[in-house]
Amino acid sequence: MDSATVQLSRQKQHKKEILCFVIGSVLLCALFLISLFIGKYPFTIEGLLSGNERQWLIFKMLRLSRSIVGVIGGFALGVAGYIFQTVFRNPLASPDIIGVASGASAGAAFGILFFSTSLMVTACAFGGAFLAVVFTLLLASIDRSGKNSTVVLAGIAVHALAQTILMCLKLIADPEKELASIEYWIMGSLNGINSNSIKFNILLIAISLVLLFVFHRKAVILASDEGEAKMLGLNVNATRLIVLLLSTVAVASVVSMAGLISFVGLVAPHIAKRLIKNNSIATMFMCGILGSILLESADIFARSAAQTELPVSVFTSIIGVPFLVFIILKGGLKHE
Amino acid sequence: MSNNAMLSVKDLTSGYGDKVILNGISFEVRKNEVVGILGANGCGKTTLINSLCRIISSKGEVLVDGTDVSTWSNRVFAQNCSLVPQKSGIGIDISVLDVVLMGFNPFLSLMARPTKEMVTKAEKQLKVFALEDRMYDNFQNLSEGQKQIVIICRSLVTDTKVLLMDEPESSLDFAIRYSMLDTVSKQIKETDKCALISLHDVNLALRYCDKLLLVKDDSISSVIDVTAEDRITIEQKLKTIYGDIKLLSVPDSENKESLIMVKA
Repeated sequence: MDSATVQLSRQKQHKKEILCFVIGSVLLCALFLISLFIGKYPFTIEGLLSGNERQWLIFKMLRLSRSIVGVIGGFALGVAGYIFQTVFRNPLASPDIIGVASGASAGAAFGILFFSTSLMVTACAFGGAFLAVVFTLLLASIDRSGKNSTVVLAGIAVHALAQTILMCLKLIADPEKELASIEYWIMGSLNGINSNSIKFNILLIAISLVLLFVFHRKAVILASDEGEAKMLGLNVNATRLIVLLLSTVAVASVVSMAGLISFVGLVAPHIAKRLIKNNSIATMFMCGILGSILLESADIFARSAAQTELPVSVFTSIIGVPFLVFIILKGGLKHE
Repeated sequence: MSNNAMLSVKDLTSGYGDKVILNGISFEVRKNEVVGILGANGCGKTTLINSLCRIISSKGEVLVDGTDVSTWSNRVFAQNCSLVPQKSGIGIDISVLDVVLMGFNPFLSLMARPTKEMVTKAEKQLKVFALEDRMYDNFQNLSEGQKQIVIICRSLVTDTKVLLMDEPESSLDFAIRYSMLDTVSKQIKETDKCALISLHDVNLALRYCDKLLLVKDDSISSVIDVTAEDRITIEQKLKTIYGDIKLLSVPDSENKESLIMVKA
């Protein structure tokens, strides 16, 4: 293959990447607009333009916030999934590998039982997720070799501990009210999100995402052996700690607003890597866009598929599982 | 320490847990010198390279260009020394060019991206090993030998003073291992670098190394100056490691005498 052919195939790949971004962005914008107009309380563009106060209130307080969380939350889950899969060199790695989701669930259950206000539930879920990850990383730091497998093992231990705490909290919860709230929270939903409760979380997500993009090059080097990464000038333990904590903050901020949302962090990076076939910063951005598309479309279905609102995870799984099966089948055929 | 010693190791002791693998090793590698480490399996060749790279902890003093490395951060250390591991652990889809560009990481700040000049250097380095047509390919789709060559490119692309290689020939075929070491040794001679290479292939070591450290029983049993010592002396020293062997002197394509080791 001569250099002209190599350059030509590079340009072809570059064009394909741009096309993916354009299609992804257009699709996301369309979903965002559709999501603004779907819900229990119908409203129209005419109503908004005529200055109908009730419609404006619903639009500003509920719909806009919900759609924004769909986009930003999905983006954060996609990017965090990419980071976890890269750092742990494991295509099945997700934020829960270090106890984020189970910590958030235990925290949310604690909030529902002892505080009951939605703001406190959000704060407790965030605190639970963060505590679980800090505890995982502290446990892992006992082994000074700093191996990835130690972090995973510590994550399994913390996950089990958080699940036990969650079970105990469920046992003391009132089956009629609190237990149902805990279960519903665990199923995940963007219902109940309003403009007052999301500002802080959105800010945290934005800051962590910006920093994760800054750390992208370092995160990719973490996908080598520890010794190799060290000899590429990386402070392996510190960099891994920073990158995992930033991803945790992003995921915890989403989970504390919307409950557990399955599959987005797992599936979005796989689709992005299929499309871009690399681990460049563009792939990471594509993971974010695909995460947003997945969550926004799942939320639209959750609001419109039945008379009552359904948990969003039902639809992220319905969209995610076939994709995952397709990827496994295609990957398997390729390796044969 | 002699004046032009680029890498100086004094009284290095290392091992795993309570088990001592290397005990009080001392040696020097000078500027433009290629030094090979030879020894039987499990003698501590990789332990030596890993100790120098600070991947495993050790006692003793390591100086690079006269400076004690113990106070250096990983970044400063990587600006001065580069490593070619036995096998790269990169476990994600990434382009060949991006793998080579990783070599510049110690020279880049957190926000910085590789410059155009760095990209050109990386492309040139891949061209040296005839891998320029694979530079946008997925690293994972390369053969093990090609992957190893890419990792060697990553180590050679920067201006680190010391190149440490741990059995770089292990996954390369006969022709490629010779051309690889030929290129590496030429680059070491042309620049102000030095190389310490652990090798299994004695014939390769005899052809491309200036000095050979023979590791046996947790220490350096003897040192061979390939350029100065005669065939019989070298043969006697190699016998202490490999047992019943014979060194033959054969002319190469440039009519220079070349030593090859055969089982007696």
